[in-house]
Amino acid sequence: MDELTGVLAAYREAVPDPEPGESFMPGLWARIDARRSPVRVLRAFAHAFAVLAAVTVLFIATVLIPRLQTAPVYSASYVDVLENEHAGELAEAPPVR
Amino acid sequence: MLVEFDVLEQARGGNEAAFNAIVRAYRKRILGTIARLINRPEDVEDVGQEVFLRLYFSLGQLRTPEVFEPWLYRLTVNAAYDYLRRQRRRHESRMSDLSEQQVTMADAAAGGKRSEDEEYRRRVRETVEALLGSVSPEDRILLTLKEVEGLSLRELEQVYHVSENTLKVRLFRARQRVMKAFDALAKTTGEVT
Repeated sequence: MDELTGVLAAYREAVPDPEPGESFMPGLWARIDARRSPVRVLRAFAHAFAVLAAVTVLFIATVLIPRLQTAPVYSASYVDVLENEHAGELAEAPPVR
Repeated sequence: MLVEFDVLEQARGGNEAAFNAIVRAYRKRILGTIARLINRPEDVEDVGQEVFLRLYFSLGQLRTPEVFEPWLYRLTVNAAYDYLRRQRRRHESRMSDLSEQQVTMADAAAGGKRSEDEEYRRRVRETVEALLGSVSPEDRILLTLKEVEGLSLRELEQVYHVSENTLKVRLFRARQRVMKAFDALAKTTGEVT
């Protein structure tokens, strides 16, 4: 064991584990509470933001999107369109025998 | 382990009584380590509270209870490191920086005779403070954990999350730097303790 190791080992004996003071636990909880308050506010804000986001998504999905959806240009088939165009002619035409 | 795994689990779940049990089980050991890491008795409790404060807010990140003790050591090391860096920036006048005459005057002002044992302890504390104060906080903490706290290389691996070889290299270099300060101190004082 060299001299430095001896000094460092003696240091362990020279500085024993101190007894915690009576104010240790109350002081610790005071610090925890002090830091916890902003965290709680932030958590409440995050929760409110999440709820607001969910409501907005629901509103967009159920109200806005159906309203903004335009009717398709062609809602009927080609045959239906032809039939409508020539409805009068078909009525006047003699029946096929 | 000084606490049962289920106490840790309860504390992770936000149980304050379980957290208090952990603090009570470990505070003396942690305060002792801090006392030897920073060598400033008046600030030991403050740094100790900082360690347990960090523990409270990071307990949820603990993956398995098995790694709790190295993890607590890591929090202790980080808090001590932050403290030592702040102290360095402040450039406060310390007893070890004072001349021998100033120390004698301060002792006389403090009054009361010291016993031989107390005198020896004081000299050891001042010598180690002078030695470790001459190297970086990183070297100081690593050497203290290994040589003073007696942590094994395996335990240091878990604290620092580096390989054993890397640790050996770091320890060797830190020792070299402290040895240099040790030799210089021995030359100026004739003997060290």
